[in-house]
Amino acid sequence: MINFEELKKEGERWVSEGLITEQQLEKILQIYIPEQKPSEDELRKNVTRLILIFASVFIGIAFFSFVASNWKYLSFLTKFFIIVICMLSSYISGWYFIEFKNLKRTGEALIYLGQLIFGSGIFLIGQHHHTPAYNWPLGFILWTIGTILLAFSTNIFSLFYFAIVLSIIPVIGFPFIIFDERIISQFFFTPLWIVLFMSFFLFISGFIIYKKGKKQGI
Amino acid sequence: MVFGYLLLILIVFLLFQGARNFLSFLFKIKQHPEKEIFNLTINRENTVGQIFIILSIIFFGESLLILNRYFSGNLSFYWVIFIVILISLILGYFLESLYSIIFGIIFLPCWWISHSVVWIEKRTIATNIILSGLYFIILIYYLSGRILEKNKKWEKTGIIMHFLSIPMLFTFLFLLSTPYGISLIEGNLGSPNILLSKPLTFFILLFFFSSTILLFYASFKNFISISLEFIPLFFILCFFLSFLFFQIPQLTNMEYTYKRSFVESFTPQGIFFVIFLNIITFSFSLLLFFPWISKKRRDTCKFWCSVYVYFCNISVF
Repeated sequence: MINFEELKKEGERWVSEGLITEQQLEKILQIYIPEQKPSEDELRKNVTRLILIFASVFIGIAFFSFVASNWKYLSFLTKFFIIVICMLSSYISGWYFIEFKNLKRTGEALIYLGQLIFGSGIFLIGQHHHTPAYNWPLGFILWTIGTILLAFSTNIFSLFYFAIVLSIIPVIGFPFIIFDERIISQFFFTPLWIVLFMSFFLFISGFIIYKKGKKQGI
Repeated sequence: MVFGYLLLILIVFLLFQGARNFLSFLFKIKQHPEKEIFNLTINRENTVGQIFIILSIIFFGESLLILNRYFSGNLSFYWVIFIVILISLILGYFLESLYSIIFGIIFLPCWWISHSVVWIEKRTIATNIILSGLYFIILIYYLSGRILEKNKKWEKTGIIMHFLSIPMLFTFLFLLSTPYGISLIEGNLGSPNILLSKPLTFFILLFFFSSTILLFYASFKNFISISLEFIPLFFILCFFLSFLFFQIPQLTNMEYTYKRSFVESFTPQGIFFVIFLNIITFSFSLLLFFPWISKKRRDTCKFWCSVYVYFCNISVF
């Protein structure tokens, strides 16, 4: 980090020595001007954002427990539509709050909620189609792909962090399946093409974000 | 016990660092911008992009493992790790992605230890050849780091390689200077003929020639100091190279177990190794400690290492 005060002192010395003009010094100082400390209003906004994110996470957890519990009395289609409607409504309301009401934080929290419901939907479908319990990392792969696509389309950067957390889970989980000698049939494995696709997809997304970051850094 | 040592190291570091900051404040000495050196990425996009690239490499490795399972395990797990390391280093080089390079740097010695054990066990080759290979790898890291940090484009990569190689080198030398390390050198029950295993021969020669060429290149181009770095590093290189040619008189299994249980009783050659390796470790730590006093660049990391080595040595004696 460049010390602004030191740079200012040095700059004044350069001006007195005639190395640069005062205008040039001002221009240089403009580049390195330190960031202002967050105001009370900004702090309040940040707290609101945190509360909203926590609220969406808890609602998401509630959805997960809803899917996981034995709600035998509902048919699969009813369960599926509940999930799809909740997911779509939170996405649409999130988008509405960001675009039309200028409530960015509330909108982002709702989109996060939609993303969590999307994850629970994946596991619901897996449960219904009797996907082997061995294949739980597959659900996380699909969830990661969805999260990355959503992050690109909505431009919410924090969703990328969420995608990183989601993709680490199958990275740890896969070796347990691959090296489990009790699993004999290939049917129980995660299809090779999905893992390869995930690798390719992560590389392309990583490359795009990395290049963007490099361009901004320059 | 280990946590106790770590805690002690931390306390000593904080005390020294606190004293250093206090003195700097008292005499208004300018601190070097070390934080900037260890700032690995430019911005959050850069960080996330690099993490995604590493994750994609790991997923590729896992897809290779699944493929391997489909084809009844013809490609061993160790080769998959090696391919992953190679890809991460190549991608790191072409994309200038520091995280991928760090990933490769950390896992290459782990791969070498695990895979060379398999090769050695198959052909009953002397186990201390693993140690030679490990030293050559660490030397490659150290010298590459010293060479690259002078290059503006690869400066950060060089610093990271240099930074990572120092604790690696010290841990390695320190472990060897302990009774356990001596037992690793002495407890070999095979022949030193590396030609018995083709992949082992290939990799050990690759590491040896790369490290030797780098050592001479770095000293020729004045990247490293002749008296302080080249001579000791070359001396240790010769020591580890001797494992490839000379067989240390073997101890029988019984004797080996006996010696291990009564570590006070070393063999004559064991005493030589203890003295030799402890002198090396101590002198290296001294070499790292003095630049910190003279406030040269990037010395905090070196200071850390020297404190670490001092404590390790004290704990042994």
